[in-house]
Amino acid sequence: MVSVNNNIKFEDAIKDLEKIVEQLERGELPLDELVNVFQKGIELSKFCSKKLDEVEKKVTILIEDEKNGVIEKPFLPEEANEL
Amino acid sequence: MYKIYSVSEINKYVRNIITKDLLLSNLWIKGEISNYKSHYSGHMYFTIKDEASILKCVMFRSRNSNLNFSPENGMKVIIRGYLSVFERDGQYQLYAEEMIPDGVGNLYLAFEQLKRKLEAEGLFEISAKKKVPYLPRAIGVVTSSTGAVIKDIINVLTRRFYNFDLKVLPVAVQGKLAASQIANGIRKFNEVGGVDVIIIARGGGSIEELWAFNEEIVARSIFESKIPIISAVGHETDYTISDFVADLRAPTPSAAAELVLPEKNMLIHKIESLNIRLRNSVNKQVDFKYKKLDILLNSHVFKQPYERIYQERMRLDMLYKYMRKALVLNKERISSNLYALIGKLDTLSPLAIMSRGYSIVRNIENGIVLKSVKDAHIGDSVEISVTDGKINCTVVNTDN
Repeated sequence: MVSVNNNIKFEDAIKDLEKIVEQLERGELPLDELVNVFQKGIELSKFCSKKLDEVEKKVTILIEDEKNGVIEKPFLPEEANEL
Repeated sequence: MYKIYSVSEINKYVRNIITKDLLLSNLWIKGEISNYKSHYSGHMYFTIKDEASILKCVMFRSRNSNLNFSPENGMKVIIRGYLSVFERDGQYQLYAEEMIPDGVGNLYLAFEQLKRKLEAEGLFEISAKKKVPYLPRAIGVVTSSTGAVIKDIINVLTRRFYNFDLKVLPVAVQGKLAASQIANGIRKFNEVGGVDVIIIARGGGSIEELWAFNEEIVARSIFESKIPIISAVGHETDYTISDFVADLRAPTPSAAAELVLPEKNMLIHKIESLNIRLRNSVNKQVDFKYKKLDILLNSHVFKQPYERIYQERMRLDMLYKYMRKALVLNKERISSNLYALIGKLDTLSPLAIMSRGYSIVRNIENGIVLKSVKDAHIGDSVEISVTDGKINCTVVNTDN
């Protein structure tokens, strides 16, 4: 069951996960809802973990080209100009 | 008749006029310092002059202790203060409250003026500020491509999160071209997109060196930016107009790097601990429900479901036994009654009577039993029943 939409934000996902955990810890849920809520919690937790590793480390520098657009090139901080 | 005034009265009168005057009670004035004397009391006495005139000044210790420079003869300064009269000497003079060297004075004034103007237009409104995303997918930086600032930002981000996407748009951060380059850089990021937040950064410096970040075009491009902007210019105590317009101010460029991304380890740990709590709480609850079920299953209702049946069966058995017993007793009672009756019957039986010699005489034709001589007619065929059979006879005679 995919109940976690990939478009939600990390911040919201982790807040939802916190709410689910608190709800479960209060122990108010009947058994069949327990399973659903737990499932959603697991999915949220996987989603959050995945989101953290989603972005690849990349540092680029933007250079304007003739057509007034930009080109991205890898950025190497110049050692030479260090004061 | 003219009133004749005393000297003190006139001096006091002049003082009143001067101190009540709106312009003279708070003004900015520029000039060159001369005749500078610093009194042992800490108060400063000097004159300021221009080409044609001089004005006596005093700056009391309470005011001059804030100065970040030492006034000297020949120095051009701008002073904010008020005019009043030292009554004893009949001297009007300038009481200085603030003083700045004139080189930057113009800049300082321009700063104040622009700040007031933009504030009135609402560029600093908190409600206009956009929320900086918690976990931006890509970060834009408008700064110099050389120098320590960009390196610091990269280092802090690497240490804090490790995997991030940083796009650097190189600009001059001081000098004549800086302001337009910075403004264009912000606009470029908005056009091309691809970043969720922009940091504009510059290391520490004097007010002149930071000046580009006080220019109106930079302020406006920050305000117009659809992408949230973090302003990190100079040192902690430096405030530029960019800082006021931006959606978030960072005291230093490194601090901006800390504001833009959370610490990855902290997040990993948080997710992990939520995971553990998630599983534990479910385990606990399931455990609890199992225990409840267990208690119920162990109740004697489940252990001996047939107990009731056995009990009823035993009861049934007992009742059956009683019934049989009762029947038997009854039977015996009936039996004995029966025998008694049979006995009685026996004695009453005609056979018994017949065995004593009596017999039953019956008319053969009509089967009527003869009980009286009148029933017999001479010549009737009659049947005499005795114990062991019948005797057929004919009536010969009757006698009564």
